[in-house]
Amino acid sequence: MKKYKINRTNIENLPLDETINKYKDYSKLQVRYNDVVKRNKLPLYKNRKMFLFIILIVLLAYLIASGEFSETEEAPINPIEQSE
Amino acid sequence: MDRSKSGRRLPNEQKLIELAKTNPARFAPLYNHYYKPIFIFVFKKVRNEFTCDDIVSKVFLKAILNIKKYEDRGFPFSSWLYRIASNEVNLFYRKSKKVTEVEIMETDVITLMKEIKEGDEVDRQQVVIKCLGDLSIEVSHLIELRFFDRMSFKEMGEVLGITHGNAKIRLYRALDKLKKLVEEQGI
Repeated sequence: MKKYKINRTNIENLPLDETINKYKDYSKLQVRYNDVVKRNKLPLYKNRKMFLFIILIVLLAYLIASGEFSETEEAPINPIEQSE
Repeated sequence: MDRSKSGRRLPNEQKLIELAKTNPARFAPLYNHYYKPIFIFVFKKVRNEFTCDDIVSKVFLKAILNIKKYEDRGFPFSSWLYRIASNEVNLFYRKSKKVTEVEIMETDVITLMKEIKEGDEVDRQQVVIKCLGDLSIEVSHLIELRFFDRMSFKEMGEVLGITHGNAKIRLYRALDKLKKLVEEQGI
């Protein structure tokens, strides 16, 4: 909501250069920029390529692990049974 | 106009924009050059240092975040910043629930009244500015740009992202609305 008021002095009340310079701070802008950019960074799983890559790694890990288990699950040959 | 004096183009501006596009950390020269004119532009519309600082920070943050999307369409870079600033000020008024008092110069009101052929008596001035406050933000914004920011139609077009002819048409429609409202008030 806005309400207009007439200045009849004909002297425009504008801020002084010192006042403007007090607020001028490029480092503050950079900090805010970095905050926004970092906050908006997509998590890895939301990136399609990275998601597929993660799935591939998990799948490979599963295959390797299951392969190792199947090897260890093979029962050792019983020497008594072998002699019979 | 104040804007063309303080907001004149930087030497090698296009090169600086390209640098800022590739590396936003190189935005500093543009920020330092345009901070003051944008601050004054916003201050004239909100008349409060703290609110102004808040809005100007948002303007430059949006500019640095979107500089990659900026395209040179023949308008100065400053007009892009003024457009962001105008949108931010309008957004501030749309969100704000309390009434904000905006000071305008009497000479500017007299110019506006001459344009809508309403004379320049003091009591009439009060009615005209009351009606101006009753207009929608978008409509009063056009009148502000022309009469209080003293922009040419070309500059208005640059800020609004339209042609100067279109800016002229929109302004005259806005003035018609204001005139009708003033007439309804019984002047």
